[in-house]
Amino acid sequence: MSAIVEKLVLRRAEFSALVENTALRGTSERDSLHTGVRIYKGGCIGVAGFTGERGFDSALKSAKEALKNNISSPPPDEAHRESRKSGAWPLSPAELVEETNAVCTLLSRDYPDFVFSGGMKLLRDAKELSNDAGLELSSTTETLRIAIRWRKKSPENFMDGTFALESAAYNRDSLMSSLAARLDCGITQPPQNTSLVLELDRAEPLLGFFAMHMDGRIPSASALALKFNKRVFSRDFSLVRAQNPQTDFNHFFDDEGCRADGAFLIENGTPKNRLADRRSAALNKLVRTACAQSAFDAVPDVATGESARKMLKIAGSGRTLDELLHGAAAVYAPRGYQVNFTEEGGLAIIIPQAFVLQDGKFAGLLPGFKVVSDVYSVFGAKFGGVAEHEGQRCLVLSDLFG
Amino acid sequence: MFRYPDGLYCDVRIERLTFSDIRVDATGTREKRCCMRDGALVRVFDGARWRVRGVEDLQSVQANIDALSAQSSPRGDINSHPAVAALSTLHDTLPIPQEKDIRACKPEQKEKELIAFAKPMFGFKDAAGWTARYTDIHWRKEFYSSRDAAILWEEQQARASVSVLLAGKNRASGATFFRDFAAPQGLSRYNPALLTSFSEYAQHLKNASPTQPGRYTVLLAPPAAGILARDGIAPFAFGDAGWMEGKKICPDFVNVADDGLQDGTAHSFFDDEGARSAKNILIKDGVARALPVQGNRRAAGFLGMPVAGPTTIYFAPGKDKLDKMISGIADGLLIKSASGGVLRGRDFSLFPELAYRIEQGKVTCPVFIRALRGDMLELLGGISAVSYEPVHFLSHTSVDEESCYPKAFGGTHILVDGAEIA
Repeated sequence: MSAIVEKLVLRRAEFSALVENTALRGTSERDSLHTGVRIYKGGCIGVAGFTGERGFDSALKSAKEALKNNISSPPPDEAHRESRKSGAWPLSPAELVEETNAVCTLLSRDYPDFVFSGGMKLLRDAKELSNDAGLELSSTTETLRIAIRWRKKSPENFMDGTFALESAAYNRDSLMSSLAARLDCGITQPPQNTSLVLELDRAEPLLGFFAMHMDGRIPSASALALKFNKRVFSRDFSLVRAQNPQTDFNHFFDDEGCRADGAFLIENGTPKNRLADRRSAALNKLVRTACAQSAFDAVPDVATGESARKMLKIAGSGRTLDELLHGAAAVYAPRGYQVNFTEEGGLAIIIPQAFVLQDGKFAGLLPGFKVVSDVYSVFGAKFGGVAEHEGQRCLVLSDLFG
Repeated sequence: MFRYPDGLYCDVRIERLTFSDIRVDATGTREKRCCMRDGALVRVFDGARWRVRGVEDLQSVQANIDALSAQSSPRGDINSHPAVAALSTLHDTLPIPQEKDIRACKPEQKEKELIAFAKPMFGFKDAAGWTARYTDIHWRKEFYSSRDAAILWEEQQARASVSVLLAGKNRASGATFFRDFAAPQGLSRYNPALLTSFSEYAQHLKNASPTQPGRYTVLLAPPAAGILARDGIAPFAFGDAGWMEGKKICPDFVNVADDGLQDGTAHSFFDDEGARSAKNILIKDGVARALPVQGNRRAAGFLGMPVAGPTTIYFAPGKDKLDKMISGIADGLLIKSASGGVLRGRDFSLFPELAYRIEQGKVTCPVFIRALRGDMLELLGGISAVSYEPVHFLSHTSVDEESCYPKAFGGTHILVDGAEIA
């Protein structure tokens, strides 16, 4: 039986400007290149890898040797070719340093009572997967990540906060305006009977329940096991594995070459498919959902935890945030909230800081609070849809305070 | 070893990481790799700005020193700059003796021991699925600087773990049992403890009922108390939340230490700036102490920047007897284990796993708890007893080079009055 040789190349370049005490502390850069070599033969896989430009022949030999470990794996069965790029660095590294200095100067001038830290990072992430069975995929994402934390120079900490954004665009005025909207807010009272707007993270903590309970390796080990193909959530709630190169800065294929082209895990409130890689799909007769992941020199497996959360996406509502809120005021929780689940789907959302959102603007600051509910309510009766607000994807949950 | 430019501070940390990662499940071997990574972090400081570069090609370290130096502005008195004057000038070599070097153990032996460790799982009826994993890591670190520091030291750790998935009707959970050891030999000795642990998780999943939100007297068992130390006190002290140095933040009988030399996964003779690790008291008789300026700067991965943080952080033993602590609780909760915690600002949340009701001084039925939450000062101020018993240490191990900054934690039993349960 002939062997299939496969190569996974991961290249990552970063340039960061680091801020401490509202001043540029330094810069940090790295550029790494890792290559994984896989051989599929006789229903088994052997994997090895190397760092840098050279080492393929030696890795190939090690991968052949690793076939002796008898690690079962179905062979690759895709033969598509595609290359995509999402995002672009909006600044050069030198401009990033200048901008960080400029932002620090403005923050020192306008907010002398606060101390700022964090920084800005340019990130380029490239992945190529090819094999001699005809697969040839490549994907590059380029983004600017901004993460700024602030603390008031006083013993009280209710004004402490964070701002995070990942984007392929940069505008200093827009950044300062977003920070000002948060920093200029005074403490207020929460409006009654309002909706909660959660700013969705790239690895959204609310999806942690699905990351655990939709694992395709062991379908029975799930609180949702008896709920598949039954509608248990809102008709407006769909969970997909998809990548839009205009808006999503992740790769469009998984680490086995399965394309994330819109597989539904939950469709209109009905759990349909699980997180599945090639092996779990074959073993458990599942649809592959582009959820395989691996280190460059490791055997691919189903993504779990944070990796799985990064892959999943709540389908957008196609409406604006204002439309979802029907023009009413709401409580807006920026990223940084935590969610914990019980074994049967109970959940607590711990929100350290929030804002009153009125007419699309922050109208007041709220101290931390918690929301206690369960997944069947949050993604059921209280699910109000997903919309964009100032470059952030947001989830609307209605009547959570009722 | 390297040529350093005049008027600039420069240091180089070189790391060689050798690790094994073996995974086995009911279907057979799923992973078996023994790998090596190396890299260096080059830093140059000109008195105004740090310039840092992660380098994976060790042949290019000198070229990177030269390149970063060319971007910097030398100053004659750089060694008298406060940030530089405090940095290491040590010379030392602390290798692991050859006979204890875990790299000498063959992968086949490690796999065999892992299968022996996981043997009870082949007949464990409550498991919907399970994975056993053996990991070991050996670090060799070198640190050189323009202040003449030249240090070489090695650390290693090994762990076997089993993660199980448990399923009930409309509910499911996962649990992990692990043991750390110096050498992979005789791991079947842990079989009884593994079975006891997973049986408890299975019973908990079957029988637990939700807890009503409210305020409770909560007894934190050592694993949960340790997570309060690691995920609450450590970021409070080392993060942006505003450590209240010199202020009384909890009762007199509360003491918290951070010890980089404590045996376990966070042990390191030196930190990643070449300073000797040490034991530091963070809370002494309830008072927040000044943070150490050296010896606790660790890097997340060998290309990461060193930052101040905890090593092995733990609650020191108190004076209270555990049985009296329990018998004094009329209506409360026992949190035996937790998956983690998080601090945002000063607001802390702990996420429990195994939890039980305590009624009239007795531990009774299992309960689910979504979260324990509260302001750190309220939580610490609410501590009403700390048990007298040996500190129970736990650790965190990862073979992921991006997150191999090891932390460990520990504690004894801690009683907190009026804790908010979500």
